[in-house]
Amino acid sequence: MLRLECPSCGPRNAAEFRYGGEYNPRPAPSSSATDNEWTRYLYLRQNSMGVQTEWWYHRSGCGMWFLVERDRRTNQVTRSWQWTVDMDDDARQETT
Amino acid sequence: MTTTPFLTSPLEACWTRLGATIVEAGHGWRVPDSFAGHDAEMRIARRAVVIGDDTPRGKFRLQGDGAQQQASDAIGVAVTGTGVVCEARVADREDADRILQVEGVLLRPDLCHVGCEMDGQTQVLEVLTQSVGDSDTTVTDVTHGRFELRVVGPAAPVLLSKVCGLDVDSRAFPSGTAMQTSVAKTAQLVIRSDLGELPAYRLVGGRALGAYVWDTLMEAGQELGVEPIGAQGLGMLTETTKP
Amino acid sequence: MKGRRIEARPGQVVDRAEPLSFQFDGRSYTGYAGDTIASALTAAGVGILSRSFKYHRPRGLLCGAGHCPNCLVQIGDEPSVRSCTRPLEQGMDIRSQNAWPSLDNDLMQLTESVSRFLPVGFYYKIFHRPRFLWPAFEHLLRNAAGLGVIDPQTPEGSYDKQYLHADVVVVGGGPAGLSAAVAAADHGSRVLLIDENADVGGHLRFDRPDETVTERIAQCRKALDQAGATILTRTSVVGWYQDHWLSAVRGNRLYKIRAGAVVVASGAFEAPPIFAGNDRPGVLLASAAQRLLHLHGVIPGQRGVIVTASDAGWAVAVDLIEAGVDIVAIADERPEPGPPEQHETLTTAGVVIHQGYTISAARGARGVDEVDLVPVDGTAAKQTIRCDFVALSTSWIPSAELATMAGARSHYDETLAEMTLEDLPEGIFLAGRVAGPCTAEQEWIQGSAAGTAAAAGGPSHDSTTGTTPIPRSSQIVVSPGSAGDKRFVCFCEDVTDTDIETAVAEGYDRIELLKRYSTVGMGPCQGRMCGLNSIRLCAQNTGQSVQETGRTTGRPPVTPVSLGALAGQKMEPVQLSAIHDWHVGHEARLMVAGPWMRPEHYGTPEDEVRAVREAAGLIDVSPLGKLKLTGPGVATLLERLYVNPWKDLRRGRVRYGIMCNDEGIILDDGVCARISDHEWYVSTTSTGASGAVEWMEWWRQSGWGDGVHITDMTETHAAFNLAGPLSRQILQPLTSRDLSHGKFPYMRARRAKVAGVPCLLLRIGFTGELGYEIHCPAGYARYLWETLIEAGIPHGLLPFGVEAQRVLRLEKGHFIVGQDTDALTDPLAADAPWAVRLDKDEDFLGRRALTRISEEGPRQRLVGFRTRRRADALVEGLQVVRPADRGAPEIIGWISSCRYSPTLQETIGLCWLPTELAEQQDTPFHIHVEGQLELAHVHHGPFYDPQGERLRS
Repeated sequence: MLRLECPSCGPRNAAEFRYGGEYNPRPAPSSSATDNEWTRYLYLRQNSMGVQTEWWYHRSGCGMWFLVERDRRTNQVTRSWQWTVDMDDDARQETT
Repeated sequence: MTTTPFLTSPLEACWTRLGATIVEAGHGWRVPDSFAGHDAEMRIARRAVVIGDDTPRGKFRLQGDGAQQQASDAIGVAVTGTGVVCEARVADREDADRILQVEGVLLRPDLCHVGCEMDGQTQVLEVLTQSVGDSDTTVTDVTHGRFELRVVGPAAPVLLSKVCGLDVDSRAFPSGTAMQTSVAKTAQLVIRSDLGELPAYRLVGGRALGAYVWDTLMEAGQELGVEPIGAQGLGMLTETTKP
Repeated sequence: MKGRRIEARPGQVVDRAEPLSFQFDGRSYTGYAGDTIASALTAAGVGILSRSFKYHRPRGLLCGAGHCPNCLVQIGDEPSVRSCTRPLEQGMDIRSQNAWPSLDNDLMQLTESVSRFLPVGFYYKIFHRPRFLWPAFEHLLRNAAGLGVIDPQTPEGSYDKQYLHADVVVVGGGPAGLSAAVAAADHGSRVLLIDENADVGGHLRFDRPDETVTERIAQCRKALDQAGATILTRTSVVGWYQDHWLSAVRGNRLYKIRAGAVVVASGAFEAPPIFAGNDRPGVLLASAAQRLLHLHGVIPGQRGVIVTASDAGWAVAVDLIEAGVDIVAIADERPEPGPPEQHETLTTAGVVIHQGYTISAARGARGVDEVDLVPVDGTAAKQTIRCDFVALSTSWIPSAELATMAGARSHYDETLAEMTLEDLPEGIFLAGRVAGPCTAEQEWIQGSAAGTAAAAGGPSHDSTTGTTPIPRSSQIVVSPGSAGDKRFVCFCEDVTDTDIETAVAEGYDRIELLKRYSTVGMGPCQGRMCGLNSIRLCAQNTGQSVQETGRTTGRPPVTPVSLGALAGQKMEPVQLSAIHDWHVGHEARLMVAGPWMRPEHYGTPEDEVRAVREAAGLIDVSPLGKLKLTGPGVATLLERLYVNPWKDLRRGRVRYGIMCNDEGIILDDGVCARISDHEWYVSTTSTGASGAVEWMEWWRQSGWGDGVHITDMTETHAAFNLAGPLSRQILQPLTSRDLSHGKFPYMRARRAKVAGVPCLLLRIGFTGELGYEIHCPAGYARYLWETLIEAGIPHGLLPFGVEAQRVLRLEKGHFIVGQDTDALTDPLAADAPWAVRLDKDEDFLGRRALTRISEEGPRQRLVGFRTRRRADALVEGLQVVRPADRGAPEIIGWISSCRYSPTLQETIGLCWLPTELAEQQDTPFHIHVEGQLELAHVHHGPFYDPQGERLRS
C-alpha cells in the first residue's frame, strides 16, 4: 500500500488519508474570471500523464490538508508539503 | 428522580454486559469498579492483556499558533515534537499531598492535546485558560467528546497489531510517544505509556464510536485471553508499577 | 501406479506412533500424523485422485506441492482442497470431485469420445442455435462445469487480520532464505522469515537426508531465535503491493506486512513436459517422488522410469533405488553422460541408461503400464518400457511472482530455456533457485549476500552475477514422435497442444488472446504447470521468439485465498448517541442514519406526531453536526462558504444557513448561533457532518482560514429537541433562565443550567412548534434526558423518533438536504431564494452560478403538494408525468418526500415540478403510481400553521 508523508505526522499508510483532487486554485474573486476561465476551474483538470500536484487530507490522523507531488504513471511520490499562500499567487501568475 | 447530575461513559452498556459492579466515582462519573475482582484482573494484566475504561479523564484541545507554548507553560513541561508525550506532575490545589498526572502531546504544529486524571479536570482547564489569556488560541474541553481506553499487558502490542496498521512494537513506538492514526477503522490518538515493565497504551477516540471500539478489541483479543479491568484494578496497577 | 509405504528413515515427518483413520469416497484408509492426504492415499495404493475438468480423464499425483489441479478433493463443505499439501487429520471424510457416479467409473468420461466436437473455444461456436435450446444447454453446462460443491448453509467461520512490520522480510525458508535471514539479523535488522511449508528448510527437507545439512538448518534457527527474528511457517505470501506492502495468509488469518526490503528466496518448482498421455496417473514430477519418499516414506510404485534434462533426475533415481524401487530405465535428454557417481550406482543396480533420450508417450488404462522413450535427435527407434510410474525432471520454473508484481521484468534465457528476472526494483533482492540454476552451496552464499544487501538498504542485488549457471531445463517444447493420445499443455482446463495450434490458426496469436480464448493457465494452477509451455508453443506456432511472445501479467493472490480471510474480523464502525442505551431499553425501533443508529420511533409515529402538536415531544438529535468556530475571521469565512449574510448577526441570535459549492449546488444546511463576538456555533446535517468538517477545513487551510479555528463538537455535545406547546411549561421549572417569549424570543441562543447541567439552548423550530434545542456535554446526556422525560410525562410528553420528525417538518414544508435535494439542486430551485444574498460584499461559493440562475429562473422547482390518496401508496421517488393521448406519458418531475399527515388528515409531500406548473397554488398534476395516474395539487408554503404563530409563541 502506498505510503504518504504527512508534513506533520510523517510516513503513513495511504488508507489514513483521503484524496482531495488536483491542485486547482480558485480564481479570486470569482467575478474576475471570464466564463472560459471559470468553466476550466469548475470542470477541467490537467489530468497529466506524469507528475501531478494534488491535495490529500489526513483524515485518520492530524486533520491536515496538504499537497503532494506524485507521478501518476509510477505512483512514486516525490514530495509533500503544507500549503502556503504564495503557491496560489504563483499558480495564478502562470495562467494569466 | 435523581437530583444530582451523574455522568456516563459510552461504554456503560458494554461493562454491564460483562458483569461490572458500577459505582459513582468523583465528580459524578459512573465507573466500572470491578469485573472479576481486582486481584484476578491484575493477574491477567501481568500475564496477558486487559482493557479498562478511562473515559472520565480530562481531555483538552488547544488550537492556535501559540498553543504549543501556552500548553507547555500551563503544565510546566515543554510540549515538544509531534508524537512525543510530555508528562507533567502538577500539584493538586485541593490536596497538597496529591500530585496530578498530566500529559501534553503536540498533534500538529497548531494543535495540542492535554490529558489529565479525572480529579484534575477543573484545575487543568483553569491553568490552560489562564495561560492562553487574551490570545487567539482556542481552548476546548473535549472530556465529554472522547472515550479513553487503557490497554495493558504483555500481549497489548499484539492486540493492537490486529487493529492498527502502524508499528506499535516497543522498538518503533516506545513509551512516551504518541500517534494519531486509524485503529479498528476509526481515527484515534494512541499514546504509549507503559506501567513499569508492562506495555500499556491509551486510546483516545470519538465518544460515539466507543462501544464499537471496545467490542472490536475484546473480539480481537479473545485468542490472547483479553479481560476487562475495573477502575479499582487499574488504579492499583498504576500504583504498584510506579517507579 | 501402485504406491506403498516403506520403513522409517531419518528426515521423515510422519509419526508412525500416531496412526490416523480417514475415509475417501466412502472407503476407509489409515495414514499417520505428518502425512498429507495424498501421501496417505498413495501409501494405501490409491492412484486416481480426481477426474480432469473437461474430458474427465483419470488423474493422479503430479506435482506433490500444491501447484497443479490433479489432487483436488472435497472435505466436508470445503471444495478443491489440495490433498498433496493439506495435513491429514483423524476422521477426515474426503470426497472426490467432478466424477459421477464414482471416481473409478465416471460417466462423464464419455465426453472424451466426442472430443473432436469439443475443440478449443467450442462453446463460442455452438449452443447458440437453436436459441430455444439455450436454457437446456445452460443447465447442462452449469452442472458439468466447476469443481466441488458449495454449501450455502455453511456456518460463519472466524477470521482475523494482523499487521506485521520488519526491516527485512525473507520469502522462503530454504537454504537461500535461511542464510538471508541470518545475515540480515546479524546486521541488526528486524527480520521476518516466511515459509509456506510446515517447517523451514525448503527443498532440503525432501532432498537426500544429510546430517550436516540438518545441523546447518538448526544453527540458522538458533541464530534467528537469538536475534529475535520471527519465523512464520504454513504461511503463504500472496501479494506484493506498493512500498513493499505484502499480504500473507495462514489459515484463517491474513497478515498485512510492511517491509523495509524483501528478499525473494521462494525457489523454483518443476513443470511437466508435453507428450502423449502426459496426464496419466503414474506420471509425476521427480520432486513429487522425492517429497513422498523423504518426507512421508512412500514410494510411488514398484517399477519406475526416470526422465530428466539435468543431474536432478539422477539423484532421484538413486534415492528410489535405495528405497527398494526397481528403476528400469533412465532417459537423460543430454547427449553427454550423467553425473559419474550416480551413473555408477545406477549401472550397478541394472538400470538401463538412455543418453540423449526423452519420453514420447505414456500408456495405460487406469494408470501407466508402459512408456515410449525416443532419441531427441530422432536417429534411432523408440524403446517401449513396461513400468508403473515415470518421474519427470525436465523443466524448472522460478517462483518469481512477487518479484514481477513488484516490477521486475521477465526475460527468456534461450540457453537456460527458462525465464529469468531483470530490472529488480529498489528493495527487492533475489537469492537461490528463484534467480536461476545454482548449486546447493551457491544457494547459501547468495542468500547471505542478499540478506546483507537488504539489511544495508543498498541498491537491488543480483546475487547470481559471477556464476555460470548450469542448465536444468529442457529445450524440447513437444516430445518428438509423440502420438497416440492427447498431449496436454494445461492440466486444469484440458488444453492440448493441438488446441493451442488451432487457436493460433484461428487468429488468437498473441499470448493474452491465446490465454483467454483457450483458457490455458486460467485454472487452479494459474499457469504454474503450463505457463512456459504455452508461451513456447505460441512462439513456435507464430514464428516469434519466446521473448517476443511475452507473458501474461501475474497478479495477487499468488495462491488461493478464502474470501473469509480477506474479510477478516468484522469491523463495521457504528456511531451511537450518548443515550443510545436508553433508546434500546425503551423499545425504540432503530434505523441506520448515515454512520449513526437512531430511533425511528418508540410507539407509533402518529402518536408521537400528535404528542408534539398537542403537548410535547422529546427527540435525541445528538447526531447533528456541531462546530465551534472561533476567531476574528469567522464571520468572513461563513460569508464565503454560505449563501447567507453573517456579519450582521448579533450575539445571542440564530440564523439558518445554506452551504453551496461553486456550481451553486446545495451541500448542507443548518442553523448557526453567534455566541459572542468571536465564537460561533454552527450546526450541520447529521449525515453530512464529517463531510462538512472536511470541506470547511480545506477552505480554512488553503487560504480562507485567517483568524479562524474550527473545533468539531459533534460528539462532545449531546442535543435534544424539546418541542410542543407545553415545552416551555416543562422546561421552566428545571432552569433559572427566563424562558418567557419576551426574554427568550424565537431564533435566539442562550446559555443556561438545566437541572444543574450547563447547557446551550437554541430556540429554533424544525417541527413548527414552540421548542428548545438543548445542547449539553455528552457525559450528562443520560441524566438530563431522563430528567426531561420525567418532568414531561405528567404533561403528556412522549419521546419521538426520526420518522415522526420527518412528518412534522413536512407539515411545515421544510426540505431535507439529500432527501429533497440532490446533486443538481440549487437554493433558488429549492424554494429558498430568501436565504441567498447575492449582493453581499463577500464573494461566496456559488455566487456566479446563482446569479445566472436568478436571472434565467430555475427550470424546476421544489414545491409542496397534497393528494387524497393514503401515503403508504405513494413512495418517494415516484414520477410526476404529463399524460399523453398516445404512447407513454412524459416524465416531468418526481416526488421527494411524502407522508400521511395525522395533523391535517391528508397526504402531503414535496415534489419537483417544472416551474410553470409549480407557479400557481392548487395547480393539478399527475403522479404515476403502478400504472395508474394519481391526481395531486400544488401547495405553496407550510401546510400547517402557515403564519408560524405556534413557533413564535
